[in-house]
Amino acid sequence: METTQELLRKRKERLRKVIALEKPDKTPFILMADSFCARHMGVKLSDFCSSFKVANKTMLDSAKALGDFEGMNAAFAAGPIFPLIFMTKVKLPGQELPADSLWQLDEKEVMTIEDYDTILNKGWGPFMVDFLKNRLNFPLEATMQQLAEVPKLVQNFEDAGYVIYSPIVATAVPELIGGARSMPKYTRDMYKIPDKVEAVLDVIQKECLETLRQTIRATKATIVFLSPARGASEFYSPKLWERFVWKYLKETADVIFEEGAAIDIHIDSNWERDLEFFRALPKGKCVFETDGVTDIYKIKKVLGDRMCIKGDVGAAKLSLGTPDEVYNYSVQLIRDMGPGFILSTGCSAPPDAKVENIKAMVAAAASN
Amino acid sequence: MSKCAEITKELTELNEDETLKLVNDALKQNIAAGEILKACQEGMVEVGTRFGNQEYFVSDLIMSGEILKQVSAILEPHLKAGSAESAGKVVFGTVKGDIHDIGKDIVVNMLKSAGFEVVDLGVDVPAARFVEALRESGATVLGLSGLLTLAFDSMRDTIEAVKAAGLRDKVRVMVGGGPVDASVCKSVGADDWGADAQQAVRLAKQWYQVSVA
Repeated sequence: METTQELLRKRKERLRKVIALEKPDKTPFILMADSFCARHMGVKLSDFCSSFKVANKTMLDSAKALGDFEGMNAAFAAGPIFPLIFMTKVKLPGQELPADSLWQLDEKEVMTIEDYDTILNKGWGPFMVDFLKNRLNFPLEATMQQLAEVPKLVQNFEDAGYVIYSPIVATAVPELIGGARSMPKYTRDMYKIPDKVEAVLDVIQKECLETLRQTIRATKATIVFLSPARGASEFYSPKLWERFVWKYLKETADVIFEEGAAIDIHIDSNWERDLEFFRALPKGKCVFETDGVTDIYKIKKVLGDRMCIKGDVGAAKLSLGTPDEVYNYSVQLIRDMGPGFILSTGCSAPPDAKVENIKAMVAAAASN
Repeated sequence: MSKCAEITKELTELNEDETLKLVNDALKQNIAAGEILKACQEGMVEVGTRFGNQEYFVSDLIMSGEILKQVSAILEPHLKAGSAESAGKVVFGTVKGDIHDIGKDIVVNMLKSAGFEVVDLGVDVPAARFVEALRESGATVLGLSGLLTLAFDSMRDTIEAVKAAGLRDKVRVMVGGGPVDASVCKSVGADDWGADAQQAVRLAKQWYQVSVA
């Protein structure tokens, strides 16, 4: 019987091959989930969110109960740290929401128009710290202390033989301002003061990319996760998209490649119009992680020869579908996507995803 | 070009400053607020058409909504109650347990622009509130929005509540939001679903048997 370390080594190698577009021995399955694990293990979401350690243990217990698969996207719950990614207040279960409710972003216009000049004049770092602590009442110091423990949380999974697929998260800079201003106001800013918006995004990007380089070097990360959550083509005209989405995505990707890592681009909503842009990224160094809205067959057609595809069993199917439906869909994907494919959920598995449906995905990857 | 035609054009082109200036000029010229609002609504309809033709995108819908919000604030004191002809009444909201509103707001704006009187209940709306609003307004179209899969149960509960209130055979229900598709529509017991604001407007027109452009 294989040891957990032999399993881990094999699973890491399988993922390396798939991302490099080499033929693996089988299709890997990476589960993107956090709140699902809480429901799976009967842990109240308020308890799940109470600490990274509780979330980590719950997620690991869930993985062990699901069986033989490669691993999970992350080692702790994303919800409580959303303010760091989206500069928006998050309502948490047991605090602003009932104890077993899913966390939700409470997006409002908190950053003012005048703040653009503050950032230009004084830089991003001090502004962000002040914004998080004093305008969002975010427990920044306590959260940073917990984030410092992430290597240990990753180790917990690895000791059990599971890969943590993307322990490092790069900042999608437009999401910071989009959340802080609120989407409607940020959208209006792009129309009314585009030069100022771009100048501010450039300032933030410069600071964030330097931090990203240091983080990749310190952690020796091989995959970096990037989520331009509201960057979909369907949201913007081509000109706006190139200026305010692609520019920052490409710059971040380039830094990741320079530091020797691969990029996992998490794609929410429909990006079909602009798939060709992604052909500019180097072959065998990218994962196009889709939530199921962009047609995965179009992704395969345009990008399949250059990058790995990850996805895309969607939330509705996981909540409402039958295990047979999920299994059959997963097997079809594995067959149609071919070697450069990681089976996964389309975005984070919802808390009400049926356990049997996730197990159906595990079974599909195990036997194909 | 008439002042109203200019307003329609500038709003369609998403020129906020020009639109607001023209609206204020029109008021000073004693053009009826109802006529000005109608011109804006025609602009919004054209925005919706361009979205349907994939010339405009979600950000354009949002920007047009931001302009309309400002125009409405200017015109409100000048509008006579009941002066606008209504294409029908729609009750709309994000269901209980879900606080997402951006998509809902876009749909509400487009429905209003298409001439519907919309009772926007906001977010995290309990089933009973939807039923109350249907009774109070006499609306025969109900729109339920949700971005989380957890909203499916709330959508189902709301439609059950409408049934229990004896209103289901009088009210047509549409659902929409990120994970909503045909399977969700069937599962929650809705009549139809929309992937975007244009589909919501099309459904409302169809159900009120307004001419579908």
